[in-house]
Amino acid sequence: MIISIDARSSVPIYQQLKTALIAGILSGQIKEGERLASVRDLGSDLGINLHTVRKVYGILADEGYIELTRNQGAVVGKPPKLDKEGMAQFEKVLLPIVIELRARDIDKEQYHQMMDRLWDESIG
Amino acid sequence: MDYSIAFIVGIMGFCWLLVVGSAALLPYYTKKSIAFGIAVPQEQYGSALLSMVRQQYVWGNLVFGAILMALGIWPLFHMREEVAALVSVGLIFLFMVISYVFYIRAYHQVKEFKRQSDWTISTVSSAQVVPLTDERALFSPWWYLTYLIPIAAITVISWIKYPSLPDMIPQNIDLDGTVISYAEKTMGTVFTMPLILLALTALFAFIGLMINRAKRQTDDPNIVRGLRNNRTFQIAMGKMMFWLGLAMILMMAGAQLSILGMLSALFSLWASIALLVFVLVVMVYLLFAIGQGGYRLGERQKAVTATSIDGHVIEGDVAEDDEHWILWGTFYNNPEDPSLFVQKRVGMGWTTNVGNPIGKWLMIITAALVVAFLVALPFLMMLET
Repeated sequence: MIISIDARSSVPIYQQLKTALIAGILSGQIKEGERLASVRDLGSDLGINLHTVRKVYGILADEGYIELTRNQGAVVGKPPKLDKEGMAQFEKVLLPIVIELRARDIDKEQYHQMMDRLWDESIG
Repeated sequence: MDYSIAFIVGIMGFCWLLVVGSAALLPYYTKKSIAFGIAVPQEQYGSALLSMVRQQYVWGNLVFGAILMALGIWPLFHMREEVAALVSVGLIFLFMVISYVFYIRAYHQVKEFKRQSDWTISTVSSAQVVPLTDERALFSPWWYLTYLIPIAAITVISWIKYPSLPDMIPQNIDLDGTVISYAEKTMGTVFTMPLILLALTALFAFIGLMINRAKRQTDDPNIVRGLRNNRTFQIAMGKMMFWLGLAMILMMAGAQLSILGMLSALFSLWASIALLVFVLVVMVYLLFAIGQGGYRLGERQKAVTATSIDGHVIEGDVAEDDEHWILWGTFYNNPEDPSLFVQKRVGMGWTTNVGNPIGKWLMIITAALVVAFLVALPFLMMLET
């Protein structure tokens, strides 16, 4: 599976990389048990700092998407289920966005349409 | 005109054709997406301006090449051989300087053209996260261990033969097979060759590793296809290096056998000519059948459409990393990029990222070795005669 990073995007590179990897797992292009490219290879091929790649692998391991082992590197695990606490985390991130959208006169209908469209786009 | 002058003229003429040819043809074996060290959209290759810049560059090189070559060959008939050879070598370096001036001129013309254009600039880089299912294996550097077989063989043979060798052993021969110079028989003179061959093995194994570790990159709008072609290129270069190294090792092992008196002295002479021809044929094949980064692979299909295969297509974009290519696109200097070996922009193969501390030292050491060799060359030539 190919991922692309835009160096001049307003979205931070680690966020782009994290989203791209999770999207790959979600869409099934990266399967459970598969081994991801090493930190060195991925950083070198994308031309981005190795710390950034290491950070993203660390976050994905914390969130349960991958497992980091000494010999095997990063192996894709079972997609983690969301518990109550995790759900609350996402709500915290979403709330400011909902507030900003409502402040710009987006009505509930438009909001739902946008969410539906993004839902479909998320698996490319 | 005797045989040996014809031979020297042949060798020098061959060198001249090689140097002038590779300089003049530069725009034809560089990727179409790079014009004189500047990234341009591939479709611009046939544009009026780039065609003009190319023609001026090629004609400039050919005209100066022809004049300097004539000036370099002429003394071979009229002066002492070794003086004439030095003059010719000096003129080759002069030609390289002039050729580079033409290159720099073309570089600035294209740069100005790019500044005035409205091409979409892309800052996107792509990589494979999991290997493609049908990916071919790279050429394994373990193969270089096979070099040790001929090296071990000549070491053992030299050891056995050593007591029975004459006190003076032949070092240089001319075309008729007569010995020009001798060296005293010592452990040093007899066992230098195996040591040189070991060093050569290490060098080739290092290059093999470098080829495999190089950054996987492409500027093909279809990334999957581009990365696949790049891998084919990597494998082809890995194999070429292995066979080239093996041919060199065998040739030099043969030279050792002729020192030991087990092989005609003419062998190494003809073997080196054969090696030169072999290298030339393989290089031309790689340049024009596979191309830098494999860009020539499947060119006809590419012309049809870029979008039809595999998805992941970035169209009409031109990479914006010109600022990382310093000295007119010659060296890659990007401290942000952890890559050590990246594809060259101009010419073929890879170069080191001098923005990386290890890459910087590799470049300094290589440059120092080349300069030391060039400085030592005239002295070595004098010593020989």
